[in-house]
Amino acid sequence: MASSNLFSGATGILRASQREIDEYKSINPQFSVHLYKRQQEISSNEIVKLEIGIWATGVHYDAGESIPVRIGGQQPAITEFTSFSGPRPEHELNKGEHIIHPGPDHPSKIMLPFINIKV
Amino acid sequence: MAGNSALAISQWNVASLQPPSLKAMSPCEGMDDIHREQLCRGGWFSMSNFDLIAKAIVRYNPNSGLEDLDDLDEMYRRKPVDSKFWEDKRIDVKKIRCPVYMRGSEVSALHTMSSIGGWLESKHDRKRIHWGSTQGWYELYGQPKSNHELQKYFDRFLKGKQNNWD
Repeated sequence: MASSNLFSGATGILRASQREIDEYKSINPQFSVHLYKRQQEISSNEIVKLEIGIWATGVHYDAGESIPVRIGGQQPAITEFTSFSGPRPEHELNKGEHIIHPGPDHPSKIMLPFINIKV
Repeated sequence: MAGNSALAISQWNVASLQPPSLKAMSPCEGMDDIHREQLCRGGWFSMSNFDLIAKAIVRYNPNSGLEDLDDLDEMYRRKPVDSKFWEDKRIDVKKIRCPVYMRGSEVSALHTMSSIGGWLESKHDRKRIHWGSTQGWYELYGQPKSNHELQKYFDRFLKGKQNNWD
């Protein structure tokens, strides 16, 4: 089945075990780039800080429009790509319960860069 | 040089070797780091569109006797972090010395950050990025105004016409 829309929104992807940041490559505070030199597994109940670079978009928003944020445990991909490839092995997929800590003890934020344009 | 996707990646590869005869390039939807920005985003491996390319476009047949395609899945299985294999595929965009007229978009969801990163890293003072609202293939082949703009760019840097490009 063909996808009617290839773009379902800007995505940011990070495995918590690969959270180490490459300061040299990072474009700015809104877009962290990671090293991928080693895997730092997380033990049960351990809380770690993750900085996830969400890919850029050039979207014109009118006053009053809003932006939804969706958090998922697997990488989304369109049928056009996945139908040519087999599923990823079981050990690569996320399992169990993953807890996001956005409360006052662990302040969390989404940074959205806006520019005003004349239309 | 001008072209989209793979044809943009090969432009960056060639231009990073600094050929003296290269006077202008127009990569559309490029990529300089397939490990970080496509196959292993955030450390999560995905074949992305590579199996589509191998099976439906290149139609690679392992018994054809042609040169083998890289087995990217196997290379990730052997070492699930960065390695010399991936490093070897990175393009040093900072070495590019010619004017760059780039196109990028978020729509393909493939080349988005590479297009921006490549534009930021290009060292030439005559560089421009055009952020599309549709997609590079369509804009280049389906929108006459995109072709006119490309012609204007090449007229400026290949023929030296003073046409208010920059």
